[in-house]
Amino acid sequence: MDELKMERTIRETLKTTAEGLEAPDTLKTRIDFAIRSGEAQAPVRRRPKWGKKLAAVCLVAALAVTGAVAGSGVVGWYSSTMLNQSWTDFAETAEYVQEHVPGAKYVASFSNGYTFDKGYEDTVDKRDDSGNTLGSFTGIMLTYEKDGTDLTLEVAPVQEEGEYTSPYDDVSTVAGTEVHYREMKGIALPGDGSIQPTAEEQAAFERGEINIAYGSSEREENTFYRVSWIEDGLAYSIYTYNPGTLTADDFFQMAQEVIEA
Amino acid sequence: MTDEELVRKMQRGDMQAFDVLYERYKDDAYRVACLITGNRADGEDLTQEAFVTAARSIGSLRDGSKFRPWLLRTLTRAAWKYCRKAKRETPVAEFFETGEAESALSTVLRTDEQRQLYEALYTLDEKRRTVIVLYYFDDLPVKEIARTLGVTEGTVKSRLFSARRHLRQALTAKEGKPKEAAQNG
Repeated sequence: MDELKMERTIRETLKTTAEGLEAPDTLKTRIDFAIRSGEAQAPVRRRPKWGKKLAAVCLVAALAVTGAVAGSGVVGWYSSTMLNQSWTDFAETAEYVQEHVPGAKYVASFSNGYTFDKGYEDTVDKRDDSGNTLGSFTGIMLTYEKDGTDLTLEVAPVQEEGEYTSPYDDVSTVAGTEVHYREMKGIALPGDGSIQPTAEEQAAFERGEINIAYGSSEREENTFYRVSWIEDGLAYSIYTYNPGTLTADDFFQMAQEVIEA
Repeated sequence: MTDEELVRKMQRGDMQAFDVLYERYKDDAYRVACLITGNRADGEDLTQEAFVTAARSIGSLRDGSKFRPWLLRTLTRAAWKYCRKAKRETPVAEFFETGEAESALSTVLRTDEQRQLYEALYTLDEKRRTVIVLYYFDDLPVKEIARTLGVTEGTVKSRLFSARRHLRQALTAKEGKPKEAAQNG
């Protein structure tokens, strides 16, 4: 068989086989049900983590954990949001926050022009190295937009095994509260393990120098910018991968506006 | 409305935008899934998995105009996992002896040559079969396949070359046999 005929036969065979195939009507119902019920749940948003241990996300980071925490068996925090637990209305978001994250402070907009865009319930599962869920907690994420860039305000109850600071932070006292700022380089990898970090990246991660997150469609290199603090048992952070013209001072200013809200 | 606009809406929580994207790409995804797996039931499962994953991880898609290749990439990765699992559980020969795949997809094939090629297609490993499907069925150029699968263009070319050689050998072997033996083989 000559080359042209071979090519034609392959093409015709595939197209003939598939030409009459149409996705069944019932498929959309199955998909909608799966999305609503949380079946095949995967993280919707990849987010930066606080400190060395939390930066692990899906990786085994028990080596970096304190003795008390090591005893808990928790080696990773897995964050997910549900599309049906999100709100584009600020009042609805506020209502949810009051009920589920009592005491949390937030703003409708920042003085620099970033304005509320959407709120999400954020569920974090604590898992052991076998993937068993040992516990979970719920927080809230509010996204803000300005000129096509966005940032996130995240509030969640402080967890005893959490590491909320790192030696790489710039620390400042804002409205009587210790606030940390950090620009952290990182990589994002697919959650299915098809791409692994290099040995150098893994070592840098173990030292707390870079973040490794999972859940992207392909390998990405990025930097996230984050300001964070703890107040009244709640851990706050404001962060973005795309800061636009924001400086560290701008981040501290936004932290102040939330602290004083 | 463009894919980019619809993805942007989805990222803001507008699930009607997801419905539009689903309608736009459901058949493309379903056909590719069926061709990779070899039967409709698994094609349906994989299409579901791809769209559910897309809905849940839409926040990680930065360039909404790339929704289709992103969806296909999700689908092909799910398909590979399925194929590896199916291979462990059911030897390929046994799979075809049951006639399951035949009854599901290939009954529409009109010539012996097409039927032989179809059978040979499912003796390829899933990665080479996927490249064949994307290149010859979906008409994607090598560069686009590489982007979709997250591999280099060289890898795509290598898989295409190797798959073509395998299919040619399979067809040539059939041609070389007496008709009755070929039909029984």
